[in-house]
Amino acid sequence: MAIMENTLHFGKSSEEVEHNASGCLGLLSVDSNKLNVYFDGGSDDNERVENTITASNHEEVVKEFVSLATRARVNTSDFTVIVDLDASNNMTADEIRLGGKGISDITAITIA
Amino acid sequence: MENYLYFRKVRPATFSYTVTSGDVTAWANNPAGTTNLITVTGLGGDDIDSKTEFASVVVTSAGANSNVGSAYTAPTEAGDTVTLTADVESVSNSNVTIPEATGTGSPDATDGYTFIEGDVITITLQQGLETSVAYPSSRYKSIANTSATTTTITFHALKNGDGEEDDIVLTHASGKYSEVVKMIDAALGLAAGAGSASTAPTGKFISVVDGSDGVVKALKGYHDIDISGLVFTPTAGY
Repeated sequence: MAIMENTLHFGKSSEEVEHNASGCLGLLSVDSNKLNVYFDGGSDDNERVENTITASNHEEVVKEFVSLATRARVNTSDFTVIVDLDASNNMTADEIRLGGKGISDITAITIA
Repeated sequence: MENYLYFRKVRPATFSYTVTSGDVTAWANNPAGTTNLITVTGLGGDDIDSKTEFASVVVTSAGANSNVGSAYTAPTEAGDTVTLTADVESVSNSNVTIPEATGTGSPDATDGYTFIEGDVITITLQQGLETSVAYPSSRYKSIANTSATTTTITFHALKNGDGEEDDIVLTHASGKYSEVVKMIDAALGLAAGAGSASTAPTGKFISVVDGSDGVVKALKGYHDIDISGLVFTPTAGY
């Protein structure tokens, strides 16, 4: 039984990024309505996605992130949507099978 | 799949301060800029340095007071409430400064507020800058007994620099280091979800220490550690 690592997708209409789940460094509240997710940038700097959420809802969003990021299927595609804000995305049904449109409380993202 | 360890600082739901006659005298004679200074307490050792942790600052007036900024409706009787504007307060080392509305120095005639004895200042807190953090198990690095009542848990930094570390220091009952070690070990190793024929085991969200609303909740089974404080020190530049 092969367990494939999840690839985590963050997308909006003009930009998107994918990170391996194993590259996640952690999540941090940075404002009343912002939660950052950090990923290994392969150097001294990290890469991060700043997520705009409902004020003080950080814990629930972290829980949902963990549920999505650590969910794994066996011998199947492992593409997992964390957030998809692109209404016209062309992901296939298989690609969006995990996560659907992602975490509904995230209303905006900044990819850095 | 690995677990994620969640830590949230000790923060009361609200903090209230009643203005004394001594405060009124001191603040009225403050030559530095006519600021009112109060210190938020009950924070488990980790100061507030960002306004993002404040949801609101409300004054319940002790009586009529016309010395308030033009942004507010002046209270006319005891019990009237005024919500201070977001820009009026600054905070550093948990010290909140609120400029006066009148007087010499540098009053703020728009957003300032000159308090009277008996006014109650109520700050409602919320999650903000660095209030909570979650690390995947793989980022755990070490744990150390720093004193009889403090234990330092170290993770590889969010900054991701070589050798960089983030520290979480827990304050707890004396002599509970070994219990803290067991708690972290349990959090790291808690059984993941079982999975099924088509789904693999999953990782878990593990709330290790949650100090929200002024009540410190440790991982289930480890409440006798009696955690009273949590100081989070991330490597700068994340």
